[in-house]
This record gives sequence, structure tokens and C-alpha cells, in this order.
Amino acid sequence: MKGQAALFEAALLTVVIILTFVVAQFLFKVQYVQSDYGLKIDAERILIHWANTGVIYAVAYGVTGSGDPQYAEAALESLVPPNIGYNLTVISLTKGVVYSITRNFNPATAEGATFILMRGDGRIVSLQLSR
Amino acid sequence: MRGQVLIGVAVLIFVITLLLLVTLPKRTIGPTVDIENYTIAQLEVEQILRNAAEEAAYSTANTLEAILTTPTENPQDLASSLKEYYAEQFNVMFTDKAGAYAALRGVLCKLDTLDVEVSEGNNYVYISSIYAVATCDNGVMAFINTAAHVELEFKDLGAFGGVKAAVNLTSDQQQIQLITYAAALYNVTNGVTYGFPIMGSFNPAESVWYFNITGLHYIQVAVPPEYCMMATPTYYIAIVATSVGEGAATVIIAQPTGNICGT
Repeated sequence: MKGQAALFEAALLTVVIILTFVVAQFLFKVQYVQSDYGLKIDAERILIHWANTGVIYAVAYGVTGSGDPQYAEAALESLVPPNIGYNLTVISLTKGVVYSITRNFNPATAEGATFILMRGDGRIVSLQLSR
Repeated sequence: MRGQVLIGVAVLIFVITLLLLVTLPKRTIGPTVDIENYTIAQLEVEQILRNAAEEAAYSTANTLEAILTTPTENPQDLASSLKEYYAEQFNVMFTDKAGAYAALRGVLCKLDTLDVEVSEGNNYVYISSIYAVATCDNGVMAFINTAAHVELEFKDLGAFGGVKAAVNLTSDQQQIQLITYAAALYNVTNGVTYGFPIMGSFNPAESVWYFNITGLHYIQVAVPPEYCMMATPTYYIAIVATSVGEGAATVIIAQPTGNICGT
């Protein structure tokens, strides 16, 4: 009887430990998010290129101060291949979203970067790319 | 009894593991994009310096009462006042922007160096170079190095007086092709300064845009008859010209020595 109880306890302990590892594995998979670095680097490089050439001011402010979505779209279409979706959002630090343009965008596979500009009321330019 | 303790310990480990895993922050697998991240951080700080340089020029010109209330016969005094006042405005602009940036990115930047030079021409003074360095607590360092050259002359346009300024802005030795500019007249009588815009407005959003492929910009403004007729002028013409996001900027203050119209 004593031997059976010890066996039962040992079995129960084994089950709990295995379960701990199984749940840990499962949770670690949730904790770690698979990231598409190719897209992230592409988005960062597009923003860097825009900042170096001054294009980012046309995108974020335009002549009127409320951005130039048509210019931004043309600039993106010339850089992003057709099989890559994009979402470009320009946010004013005081007024919220100025505009957003999207093409074949899939949030589930998206990666991107942001660029902060401090001219006038300030802008956050967020570029997300997806496959 | 021993078995119960063991089970208790196992359950405790299980619960602690669960709690830790649930509260742990999300992480991403793969290499970090350090070069791109650093470049973006550096460019952002550089843009803060550039924007501060440009907006400080507008802010200086917009509040010139501060240095024109006591008109001086000595242009060197005006030049040093302009230099000090612009540096002050630059500091205010930079601090404001760096504060907002710190709130967004969690990176604190400070202005390490600011060298402003002012040049004088015949009856006018202007900001001729700006050099500024900023450093941040994440190791990022950025700088701007811009210059301006101005040739200004007064023109007799009959009923009106005219001011023609040839402005050349450069940033890192590159000529600036797209500028925004504005001009105003400040009249000082009995120690009180009154200013009104004569071209655009001293606000980057309401100024005049001017693109010239050569990089040489002619800014021409008219002086109303009641002022240009003055034999002993009590007014100043203030002109601001800045690049758009390249950090080049100048503030020109001109004062004629006599009547500039009606001949």
C-alpha cells in the first residue's frame, strides 16, 4: 500500500513537471514573436532615404502643413515592389492622425519603423510593410 | 508527507513559471537592426537641430522688438544683439523640441555647442553661419553646419521704396535650392517698436516658398511711401530666409540711412 502511494506520488510529480515544461514551451512561443527583419530593415531604409533627401518633409508636412498623401504614395510606389503591402501613417503630435495610405496591407505579417520630426507641431511618420 | 511536500514544491514552481511567463515582455527573435536604428536616431536628432535653426530664425524675426526698442547708431551693437538673441531663441526651440522628443523616444538630448556668426554689409546685418552640436544619452551625436551670404541694396521704385536681397544659403557646403522667406517692417518711435508684415508672415507655415535651381534667391520687398519718404528713417526691414528641413537660416535687419523713394 505504501509502495503504491509512493508510486502514485512519483507519477503525479512527473506529470506536473512535464506539464510545466509543456506549458512553458507553449508560453515561450507566445512570448517570442517571429519578426520579418527584411521588411523592418526595408522600412527603416526607406525612412532614412527620405530623411536624407528631404522627401520626408513633403510626406509629413507638404506645402500646406497637412501632408501630401499623393506625393507620399508616388514616393512609395517607386520604392516598394507590388508583392509587398504597405501602410503609411502620418501622425501630428497635437492633432492625431493627419492621413494614412495603404496598399495590400496585411497587419498579421507587418513590420515597420517610425521617424519623428519636430518641425512645427511635430510629426510621427510610421511606415509598415507586409508580405 | 514527503510526497505532499514534493507535490507542493512542484505546483509552486509551476505557478511561478506561469506568472513569470505571463508577465515577461514580448520579445522578438533574430538579430537587431543596430545600424538602421542608430541611423534613424541620429537623423532624428539632426532634424531637431535643423528645425530649431530654422524656427529660431522665424521666432527671432517675429520678436525683433526685443532688440530694436532702443535703436542704435552703431551697427556693431545691432549685430551683437542679433547674435545673442538668435542664440537665445535657438536654445529655446531646441529645448522645447528635445523635451518632446524625450517624451516620445525616452532619449534625452542636450545642446553641446552653438556658434552663431553675424556679418555686416552696408546698412544691414545678417546671420551668416550656424554651427550646433547635440549629444544624447543613448550615445547619438548630431550636428549642423550652415551658412548664409546676403547682398542687400535699397531701390528707388518711385512712389515706393524697394529692398532687394540676394540670399544664398548653404548646408554642409551644399547650396539650398528651396527656401521659405518672409519680411516685415519695424518702426521705432519714442522707444516703442511697431512691426507689420510686408511679405508673407514670420511663421514657417505662412511664409513664401521659393525654389531656384541655382541656389541664389532674390527677395524683393516694397517699402510703403510713408516710410520710404523719411529723410531720417526710424524703421528697419527684417527679412527671414530659411531652408526646409536643412538647417540653413538667416535673419537680415536692414536700415536705410535716408530717403529711398520719390526721386
